[in-house]
Amino acid sequence: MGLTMGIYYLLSIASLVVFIMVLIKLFKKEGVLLGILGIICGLYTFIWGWINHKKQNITNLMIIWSILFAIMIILQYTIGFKMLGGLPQF
Amino acid sequence: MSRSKRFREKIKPPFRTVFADWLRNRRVVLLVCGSVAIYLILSLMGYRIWLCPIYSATGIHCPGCGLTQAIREILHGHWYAGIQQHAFSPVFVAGFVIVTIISLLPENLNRKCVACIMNIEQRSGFFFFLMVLLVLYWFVRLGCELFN
Repeated sequence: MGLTMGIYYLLSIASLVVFIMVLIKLFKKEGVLLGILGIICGLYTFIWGWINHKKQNITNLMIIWSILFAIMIILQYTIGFKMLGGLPQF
Repeated sequence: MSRSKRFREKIKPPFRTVFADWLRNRRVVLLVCGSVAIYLILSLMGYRIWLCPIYSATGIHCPGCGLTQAIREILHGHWYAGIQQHAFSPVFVAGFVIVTIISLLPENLNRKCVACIMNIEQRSGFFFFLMVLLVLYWFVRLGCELFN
């Protein structure tokens, strides 16, 4: 269980790094206000990334982010939310 | 042309339109609204398909953390609990409903609505103030979390 949790936290840090990279692109392309919206609603950043992946040349980044996310969600359900400090409030 | 009309045309609107410009791209708006709707329906059913990257990595709440639960409370009719979870949740619920309706309207009506929103945004800068207030609210929440 400890190893799984360790993997989960490593994946979440990697996911955060990719999120910040896409967010920087979002700030540069769409401006500060939509950039803030991207921080508030990570889902918007994710969708924006996939819509503009060719223009922004971030296809690989988006594929990595999607894979990381899929694994994280599977791990969340495998380990259980309680083991990860309760159901995340977002 | 009357003098007052010429004067109004000379004055630049005080705020740049960001939200209205975003609304113009109907395909993107529909995609975002559809994804958010699917996400909300699944989370109401108890399934989590999205994890906040900031919260899951650092344990620090992002400015939008708590919104899903707050919206869930509001949809169940518990307004006070919803506002306690996230003060901006009613604004987001209203915004989401308005944006979804506008994006589903026929082309000519959609253009008229977007033009109306553009006019309001140019004069009031509501999107700018909303984002600024959200960031301030985030700092206050972080401060409260730190000191409690």
